[in-house]
Amino acid sequence: MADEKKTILIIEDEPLNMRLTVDLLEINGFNTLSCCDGIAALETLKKTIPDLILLDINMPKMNGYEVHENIRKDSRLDRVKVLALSASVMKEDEERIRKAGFNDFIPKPIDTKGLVKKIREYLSI
Amino acid sequence: MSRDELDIQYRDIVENANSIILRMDMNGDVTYFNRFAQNFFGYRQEEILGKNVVGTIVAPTDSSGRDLKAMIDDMALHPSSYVSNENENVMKNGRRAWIAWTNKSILDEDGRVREILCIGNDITRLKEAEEEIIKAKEAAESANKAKSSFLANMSHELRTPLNAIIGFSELMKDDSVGPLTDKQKEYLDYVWESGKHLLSLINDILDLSKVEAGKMELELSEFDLKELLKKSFIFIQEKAVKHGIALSADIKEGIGTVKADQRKVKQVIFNLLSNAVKFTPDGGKIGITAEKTGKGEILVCVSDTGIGIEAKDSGRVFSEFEQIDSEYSRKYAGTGLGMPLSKKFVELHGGKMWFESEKGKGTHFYFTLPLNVG
Repeated sequence: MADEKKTILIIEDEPLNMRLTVDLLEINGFNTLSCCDGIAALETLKKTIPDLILLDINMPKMNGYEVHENIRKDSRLDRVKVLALSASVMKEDEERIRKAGFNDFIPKPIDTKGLVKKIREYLSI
Repeated sequence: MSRDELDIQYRDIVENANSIILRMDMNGDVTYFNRFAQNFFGYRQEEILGKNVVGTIVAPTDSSGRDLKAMIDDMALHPSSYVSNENENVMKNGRRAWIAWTNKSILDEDGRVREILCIGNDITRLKEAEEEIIKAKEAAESANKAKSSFLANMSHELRTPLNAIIGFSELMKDDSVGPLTDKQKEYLDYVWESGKHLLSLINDILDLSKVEAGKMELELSEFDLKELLKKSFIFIQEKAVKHGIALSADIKEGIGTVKADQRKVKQVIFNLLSNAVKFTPDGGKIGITAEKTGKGEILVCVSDTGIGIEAKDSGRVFSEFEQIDSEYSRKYAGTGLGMPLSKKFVELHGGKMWFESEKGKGTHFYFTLPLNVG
């Protein structure tokens, strides 16, 4: 069903940044699921498989790299693209993100239109 | 000169030389100690002859804990490994000194090492200076590390609230959360632009600190410079149309693929064009030209019919955080880092950047790029 709403899981600890991404995606016709830390996100992923995941890197409890590693261990999530969102944009950060195997890296502050475009590209819609 | 006279002369030389000269046997017992050594270490001849060096002029361990007794033992076993050697020594009064020694084995008729002749010079001051330099270097390195990590943290911490400022402004600007009045739109534009401005400041500061730390590396790739130049007007199109500024490009034949850092070249052109549009009054002209020089370089020129730069201010154009006149700084917001960064980016490529200007008539900014960088 091509016109069914796609679901994006947003994992982000900073409430305002979370609100921004959620509202941006809802306005643009996506369903959103939000988790404020990695552990909650992995719990959610046991029950649901989203179409795409936006994952913040600097988070307490479990950072984005660890969350990503766990996601990639789960074969049910093989097809789910994971985009890293981070305000750490130094070259070393970007290299680490690429090496970790994220599908993409979105630097913060996000370009709202650019992010929506990118998500649509990854979901081929 | 008789044999005896010669002996006396040699003895005199050795006794009076301005160096520590001593001999010790294979146990480390002193068999000769010249006058300079006596004065230097504070031992009279009869106090030191027959005594072991360890416990007299050599402390069992030095200030850093190095085992000097083991060193002396090893020296007797492997004299050839100690031809030259630096170690800490101690005087009779307990004061320590660093001595640079040259050691020579003295053989008996059967070719066995019987004694070692040691000649030493006081290098305490040199050592102290060396230690100070090492300390200063370590302090500088740690300060530099602290600066880098501070900048990385600052960048991260500032980006997080900026994400909300810029992001929510963008959501509202599109009327996606309901229509806004003209005034609200205008104010929102200010918020958004200020957010963007702050972001470019952060980026420029990070770049500049990298350049200054010598850590800015070029990411070379091959790309079409002609295309990049042609498309560069996109950066300023909107403002140019708004202010009736005519844009013209003249890219000469032969400008094509170059090997350079595309992102940095783009940034240089963006900086030049946004400066040009900022300082050009309504109805003016902005041009971009590029041609090959005879020296294996490409010469790019961005010209405008703007306010120009007075001769007295020309030295400040490439200085950090400088905008020529405070009146202009208010009118023409900028980070003040764009030009110095652009110049540094060009220089990293092995090129040059300069300008020609006449107050009130306009400015020509030039830069060269070698055809093959790296």
